[in-house]
Amino acid sequence: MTPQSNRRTLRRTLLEVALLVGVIAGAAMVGSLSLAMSMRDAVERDSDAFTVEQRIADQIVAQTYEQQLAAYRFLQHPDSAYLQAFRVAGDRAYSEIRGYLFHVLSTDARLQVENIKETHQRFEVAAERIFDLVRQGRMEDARQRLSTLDRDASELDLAVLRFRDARSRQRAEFRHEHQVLATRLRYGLGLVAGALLFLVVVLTTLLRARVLRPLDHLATAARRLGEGDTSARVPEQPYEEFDAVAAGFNQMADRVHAARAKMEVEHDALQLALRNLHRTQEELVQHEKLSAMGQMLAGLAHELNNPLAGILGMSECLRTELAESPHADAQRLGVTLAAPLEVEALRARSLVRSLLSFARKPSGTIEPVGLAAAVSTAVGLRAHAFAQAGKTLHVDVAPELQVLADAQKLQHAVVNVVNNALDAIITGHGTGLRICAERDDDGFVRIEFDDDGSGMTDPAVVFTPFYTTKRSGEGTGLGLALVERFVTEAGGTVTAVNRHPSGARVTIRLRGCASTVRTDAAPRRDSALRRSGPASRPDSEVERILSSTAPSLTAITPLEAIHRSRVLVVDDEPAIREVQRRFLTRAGIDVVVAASGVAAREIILTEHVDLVVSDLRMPGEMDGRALLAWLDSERPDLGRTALIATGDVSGDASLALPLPPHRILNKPFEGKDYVRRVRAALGLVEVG
Amino acid sequence: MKQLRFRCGVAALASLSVLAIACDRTSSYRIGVVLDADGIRGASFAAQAINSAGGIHGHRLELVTMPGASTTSASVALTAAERVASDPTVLAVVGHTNSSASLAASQVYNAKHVTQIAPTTTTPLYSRAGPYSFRLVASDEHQGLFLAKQVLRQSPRTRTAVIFVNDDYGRALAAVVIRELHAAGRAPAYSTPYTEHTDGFQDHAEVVGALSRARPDLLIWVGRAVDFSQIALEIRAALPNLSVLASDGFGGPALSQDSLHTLTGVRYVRLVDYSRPNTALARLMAQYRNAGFGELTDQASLAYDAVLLLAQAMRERGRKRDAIREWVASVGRSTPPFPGVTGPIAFPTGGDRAPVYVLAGVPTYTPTESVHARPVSVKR
Repeated sequence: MTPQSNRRTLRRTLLEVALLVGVIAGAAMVGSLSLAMSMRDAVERDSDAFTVEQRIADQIVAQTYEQQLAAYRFLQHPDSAYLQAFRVAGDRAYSEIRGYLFHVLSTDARLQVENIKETHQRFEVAAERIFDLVRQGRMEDARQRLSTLDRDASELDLAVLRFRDARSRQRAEFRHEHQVLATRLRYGLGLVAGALLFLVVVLTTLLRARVLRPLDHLATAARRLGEGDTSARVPEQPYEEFDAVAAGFNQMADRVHAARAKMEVEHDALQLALRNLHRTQEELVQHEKLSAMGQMLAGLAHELNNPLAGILGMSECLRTELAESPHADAQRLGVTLAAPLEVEALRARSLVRSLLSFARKPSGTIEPVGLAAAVSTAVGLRAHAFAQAGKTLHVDVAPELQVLADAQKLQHAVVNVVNNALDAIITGHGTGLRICAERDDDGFVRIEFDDDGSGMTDPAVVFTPFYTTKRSGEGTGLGLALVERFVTEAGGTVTAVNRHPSGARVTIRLRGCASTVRTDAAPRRDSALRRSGPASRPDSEVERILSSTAPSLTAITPLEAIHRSRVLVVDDEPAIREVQRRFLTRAGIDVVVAASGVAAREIILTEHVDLVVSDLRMPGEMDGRALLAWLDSERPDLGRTALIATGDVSGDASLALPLPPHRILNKPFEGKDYVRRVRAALGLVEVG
Repeated sequence: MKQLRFRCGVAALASLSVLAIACDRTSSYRIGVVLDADGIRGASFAAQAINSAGGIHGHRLELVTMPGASTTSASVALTAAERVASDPTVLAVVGHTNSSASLAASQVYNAKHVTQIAPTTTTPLYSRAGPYSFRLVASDEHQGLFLAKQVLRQSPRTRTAVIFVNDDYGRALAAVVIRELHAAGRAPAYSTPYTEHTDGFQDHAEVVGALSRARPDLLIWVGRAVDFSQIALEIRAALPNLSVLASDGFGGPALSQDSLHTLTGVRYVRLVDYSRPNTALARLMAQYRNAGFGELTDQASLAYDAVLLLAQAMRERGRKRDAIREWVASVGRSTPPFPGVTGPIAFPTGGDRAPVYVLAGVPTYTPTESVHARPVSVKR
């Protein structure tokens, strides 16, 4: 049996108590009132009846005397008038006696009345017998009978007197009984009043203990819940009704509590989502900005490549021809003017290629990346800034180190760290930045960026999005946050600490990799090349060029001279056409040039051509792609060997062309490489 | 544990026994009958007929009789009434034998809310007895008129004498007759009361002497036949040509016990018209006769009807005394008249039945005149 089943219902208890009180009170009141009223009525009736009975008794006695008197008179004077008076008085007496019949009398009293009536009847009959004797003239007999009449009359008086005495006694008894009842009624009423008072006290106590207290519990819990205290609960109650209310309240409080907790969790989640949304929005804006900048850089680099190709080619031709001049002044001019010009052109080409590489879209895939190449590309972009600020930038990265990362994001990360370091170095009047990388025992590659700048105000929060100590407009606060995201996505870690006595160290740890890496960035452990500063000028590059390129353009073998090939160069840029013509002519190859695809098609249809070298982008109805398609269709022999030159060194164009990489010439090109690729296409040499 | 179960079983059996006894006592409908032997016979025939027909709602009708209460003494009637009315199982009463007894007992019954149906009580005072008092005959105001009418049919020279029993019955009825004769200018030449006495008619010589001196042609006897029989021989000796006209109290079993034929030639009033074609009445008369009780009396036939009427009231209203009275009072008003063997029973006003008087002769029982009299039809 459950505890609930033992509980009594409050309604039932209250009903029982109310019923009990009501029954007691009602019974007492009704009984008392009824008793009082009946007693009053009885007393009044008794008084009235007693008075009437007294009068009746007097009348009976009086009428009997009247009859007795009439009888005596009739005896003396037998006149029918006396007889009539006797009978009239007798009828009155009978009528009075029968008046008792409808009074409230006890049985004894009624018996007495009946006795009076019968006595009176005997009295009358006895008188009538006397009258009969008188009628017969038997006066003496009649007189003798008078004693009988007197006796009957006396009996009648005595019967009436007894009745009156009996009624007096009865009345006295009645009054005594009335007094006793009145006393009992007073005591009874007092007892009932006391009982009612007791019941009221009990009921009040019961109500306070069983009703008011549970209600207080409920009210207190409701008030606490209303004030936000979701832990407010109502204790278990003795009555089912209150217990049901308490259980309902507790259930409601549980739900409120749960709903509030859930709401807080959802609120936190929403706040976090909102922060992420803001951050993502900012990142998206920054990304779009960077993307637009990258596109602009890519376009700019492409546009620069064409004139740069002309400059580089012209400078190379100029240096070569001046070097071959018999005049010492001309040779000197080649060394002092043309060679530096070529070096600067090469440097410009390298810078443009770095820009293109930096502006290239991230692949989104984690793959083995050569750390030295990535760092070199990034550092190359900021080397000039370091040089302008008079700060040193030292890179010490082994070329064999490889990490698992997105190459473009890695470059961006390095640039961001280098940018922050440069700002700190300038602010803190430091000397420069040192970048070094080593492989740790756990397989990770650790890259450390050590500067001696102003250091960080709070290294713990530098990776928080939008945290910046720079003035407004000088920084977004997203640089190092993006670094952390990239590193985290790549499965690595990044930390920042201040160095003693000044400066800071940013350490990036990325998963290492032993696989082969792309070599297009041509990394090498040459810290001198990557050192930027006021003293780092490209004089050694000039010497390298002077020593390495001069013979290349003149290396024509006798076999090549016997079988001179004829190459059609197609380019809309006159300078580039001229540079290519000079490269090939000096290499002993016949050259025919065309300024457009259409012109090239006419030449191919009318003249002998061994190889076609065409620019990719050309104005007019036929660009390099269309020309190549036409060759595949009309001159498959030329189509299989044709070379395509393009200034889009980012690889996007080459990826779109259905050609192997060795048939694509990236502008600006050096003469040696250009000739080697052409000769390879002609089948004169193998591609190395 | 076993002892406790045994005690519980015994207690349950005892309770069931008490309950069964109580149910048995309350299962029958009980009517008190305070009449003489003649009335009790009539009531018994009615109870027998009712019980033979299935009783009242399946319960038997039981008569509670008071054999000792058959006298005309009011004191005896009061004692009997107290006993009957104090028994809560008695739902109504048929009685009493005469007017004095009925009048005396009526106040007891009215106080205890017991419906009383008096079969043959004719005293006018009974009309005021109370709401629980009914009777199956009319007030003597009507019988007085009827008797006076019979006298007035005689020759105007006919001298009349009135002898009446000096009780509630005779006194009231004689007063009406004398009043009516006085009013007609034919006052009785002699009138005198007498007292019923267990030792017989007292002082009959004085009465006969006075009667002889008055020389009446017609004696109106308002009293019992048994009283008249004690004085009849002397009267007939003194007045051989005297005709005797008696009231309803004259009838009864005494007529069949008149071995000296002292009552022969007396004409008396009957309250029931036995010549009325009625199958139930004829069956009752035959049943009564076949049982060896002689001719059916007014007391017996009216007691028969009283029991039938009360049984029907109990059928209609159950065991509540007040409800029984209400139904009886409604007979002839909201309820159709009850078809008794003595004729339709109705109480259109008060507790009195409409008058029916038949003048009969002793011993032939040959009805000489049948009058369904109503007050308006009586010529004063």
